[in-house]
Amino acid sequence: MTETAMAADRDVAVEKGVSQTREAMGRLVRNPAAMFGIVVMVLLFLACFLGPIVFGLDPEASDFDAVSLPPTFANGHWFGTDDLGRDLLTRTLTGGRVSLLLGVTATLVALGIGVIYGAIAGYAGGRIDSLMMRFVDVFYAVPFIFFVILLTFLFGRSLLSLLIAIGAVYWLTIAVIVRGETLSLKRKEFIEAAKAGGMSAPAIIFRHIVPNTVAPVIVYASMTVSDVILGESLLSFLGLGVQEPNTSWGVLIEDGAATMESQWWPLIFPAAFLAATLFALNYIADGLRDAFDPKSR
Amino acid sequence: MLRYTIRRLVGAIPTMFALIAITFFIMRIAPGGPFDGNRKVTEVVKANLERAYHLDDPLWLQFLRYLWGVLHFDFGPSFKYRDYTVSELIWQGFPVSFEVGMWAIAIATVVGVTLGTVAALRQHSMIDYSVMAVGMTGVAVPTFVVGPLMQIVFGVSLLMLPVGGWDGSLERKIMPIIALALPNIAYIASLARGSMIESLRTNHVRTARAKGIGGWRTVTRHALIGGLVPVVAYLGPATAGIVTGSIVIEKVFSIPGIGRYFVDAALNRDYTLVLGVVIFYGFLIIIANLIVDLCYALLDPKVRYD
Amino acid sequence: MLSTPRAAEVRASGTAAPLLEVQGLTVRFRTERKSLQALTDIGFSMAPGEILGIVGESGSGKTQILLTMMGLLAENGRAFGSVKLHGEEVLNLPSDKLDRIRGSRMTMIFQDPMTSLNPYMRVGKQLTEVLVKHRGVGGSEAVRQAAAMLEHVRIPEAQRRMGMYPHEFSGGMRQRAMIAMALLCKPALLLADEPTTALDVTVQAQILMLMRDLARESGTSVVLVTHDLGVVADLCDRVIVLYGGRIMEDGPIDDVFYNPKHPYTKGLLRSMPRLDEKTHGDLPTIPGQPPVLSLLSGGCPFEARCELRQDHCKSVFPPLVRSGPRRLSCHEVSL
Repeated sequence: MTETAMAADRDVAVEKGVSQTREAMGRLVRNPAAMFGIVVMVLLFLACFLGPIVFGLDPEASDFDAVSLPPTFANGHWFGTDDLGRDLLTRTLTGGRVSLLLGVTATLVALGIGVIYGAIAGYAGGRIDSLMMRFVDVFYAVPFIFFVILLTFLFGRSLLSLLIAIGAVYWLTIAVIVRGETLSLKRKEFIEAAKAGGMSAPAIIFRHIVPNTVAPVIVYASMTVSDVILGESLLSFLGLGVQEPNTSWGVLIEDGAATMESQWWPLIFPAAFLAATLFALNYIADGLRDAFDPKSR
Repeated sequence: MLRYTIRRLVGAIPTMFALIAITFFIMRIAPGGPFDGNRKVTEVVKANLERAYHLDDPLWLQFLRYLWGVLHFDFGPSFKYRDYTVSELIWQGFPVSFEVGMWAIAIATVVGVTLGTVAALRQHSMIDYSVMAVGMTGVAVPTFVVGPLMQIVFGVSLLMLPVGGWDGSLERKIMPIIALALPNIAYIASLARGSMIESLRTNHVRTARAKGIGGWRTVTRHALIGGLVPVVAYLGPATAGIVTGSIVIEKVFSIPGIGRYFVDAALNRDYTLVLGVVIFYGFLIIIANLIVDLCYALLDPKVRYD
Repeated sequence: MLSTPRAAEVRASGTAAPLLEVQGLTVRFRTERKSLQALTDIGFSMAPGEILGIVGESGSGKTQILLTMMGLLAENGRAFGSVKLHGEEVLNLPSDKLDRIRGSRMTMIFQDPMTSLNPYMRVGKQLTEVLVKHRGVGGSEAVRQAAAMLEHVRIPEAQRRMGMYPHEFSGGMRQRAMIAMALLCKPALLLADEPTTALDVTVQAQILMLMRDLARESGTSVVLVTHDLGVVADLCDRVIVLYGGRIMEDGPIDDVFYNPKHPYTKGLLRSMPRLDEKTHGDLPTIPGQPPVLSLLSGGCPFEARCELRQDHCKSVFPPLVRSGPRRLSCHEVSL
């Protein structure tokens, strides 16, 4: 392949990626609901990661003189305290760190595995593709949570283990999506041109296929983040997720549910934070979907 | 149609096999056998117990023994509930879980489709915006939040309903069923709304209007069927969601179903029970998907002759 | 072919009580940015048993005339003027009243038979529906009549076909079924929107002949909307030429076709390939593009592409002038 042809080839792929993405970002910015979601997420991240540092609070500090207090402005316990005298505002924020961080990193892991798996399956086609998809099918036989639980038996329940267990399951949907995109991209002429020029399969996959799946991948990634956060919260609620001394919103909600007959605040605040996160993420996901494909409305 | 069903069932066999194999090997590789932990057993007793449970056999033999058992619906004894086999526990818990789950799906579908259809017919009205809002909320507020919230509101504050437990009475059934149904009501309503709006715009609905058969009949006989198709397609994945949701609901409302056993088993590393429940649920979901596909074929005549 | 006894009859009548009277029909659509006027001041009448063709390019508004009459105008559309069927006003009628008329006295068939029939319902059911609703005919009697009508539209094995689904029918058969559905209640007026455009050429001819025979037989009037002059020539007694939402010219079919007055009609006829003439060079076409409705000024919509255009054509709309059975809207030509 000549220099100019290769350069032109690269330009096609890159130009498609940039202009399409830039256009989509423009549409996203003009979507009030999505922008609202982004603002909320930024605030949540700031609050959870910087809040406790800025205010110098310790989620484990038990004050046995201030046990089970309802939210009061005066004593600084704005969200009240739990039955060990720990400040719930701090606990909600530090719990948020775990929930949010796990959500984002597990999604990144899932993305990494899913995009590569899907692109290879789609590009290879034929029997390899069938085999790879059959493998995926097995995991669709039961809800994802079960597999995550099974994996925690293998890896334990440390934060890192949870990260691996969740990422090892949530890559599936992304793989299916990327495979679909790859199948339709495979037939396009610029891929044929690359093949004719002697480009190797891995090179084609990484330089041409993957960059052109950016749009649906971003949309599904945003949906995966909220799925992951929901999944981790569910596990933690059941006691099968985040363990002591760490805490997450799921754990806090479970603690709150246990005391709900007498105290509403340990349940409501973490639940509200979780709900706000999921709402915001949903608006963002919808916004991204509209941004990349405004006709789908 | 029969051939299609058989073909699907046969196609599910390798998937089930792989599922059983994967879960089995994960359980065996996982650290910590059922006899570690708080119980204090001497080495000799431990060795005897392990032999009794065939845990000293080579792995592949254990697997084959297990597989053979599964084919006879025998998942082995529970490691924790010594007096019961896993099958007995599943058998005990299943009717309860099934009842809650079926009612939840039925209510979710009927209410969801109704709300979605009304919203589609009255686009841009208050009802339409409410349905869209409910749709949003259902996705964002998970079952393990809705459940306790309902308990607080109806059980603790208003003292209208008992907070949990199960004795077959209606008042103990209402909250768990509705809590389980809610996220699906939300999603189905928004799905139905979207697909009804599309269906109302199709050419064949225009023809129906042109025939002067009246608004009600046009909607119910002509637009609704096409509009239901995506909802029916969703019911397959919805079953998986109901399974997950029921685990939470059974814990929150203290309902003696399979889900509760499962959570306990997972916490206690009662491997046979965990394994048995996962396989059982897998089987259930495959059957549910098959039923959904059959319903789909009932709705859409074009699919029937494949 | 062009001067049937029927056409002569129609030309001579003129004084029979009109079945359909359309006056000042104007249709506007509101989009996000602006207002489009799809039809302006459309007026015509029809006698019982007459077959009227409305010819125009896509975007000329011809389909909107039919949709408006049937009360199928889109959400963002507004219709003004008057449409009277048997002397009764039907324009903008509330749907419960309109439902008594459409499907029974005034029926419509659509362009694409693939999507116009309900894919989820058996064909027989779709047919008996109209009988049950409009004629109060029940169960087996409705089935009998529907099957008879399917036979009448020359669908083989009609009885068996009643229980089949639309996807089991071929395109031509589907259109026949639609025609059967439209004629079951013996309507006074049948509106046909490009009924043969989506069909194979050979099938087209069959369907058109079928429509002509059935209409003559039952005395049903037909409004046939199409862009295909050949179809109009085959079937119609009279023709209206539409452009940019306005009537350019109308009259009895042979008059208009053999003696076209309007430059647009002339252009259309010239651009039709003819088998009986020797070919001389390129096929003549009308230069330019159909108008963008939102940009139309108050003058003649054809002005930009007209070989006879003058300055005043852009600003003043030429009034529709009548002479005998013909009408014409043009500054530069007279009847």
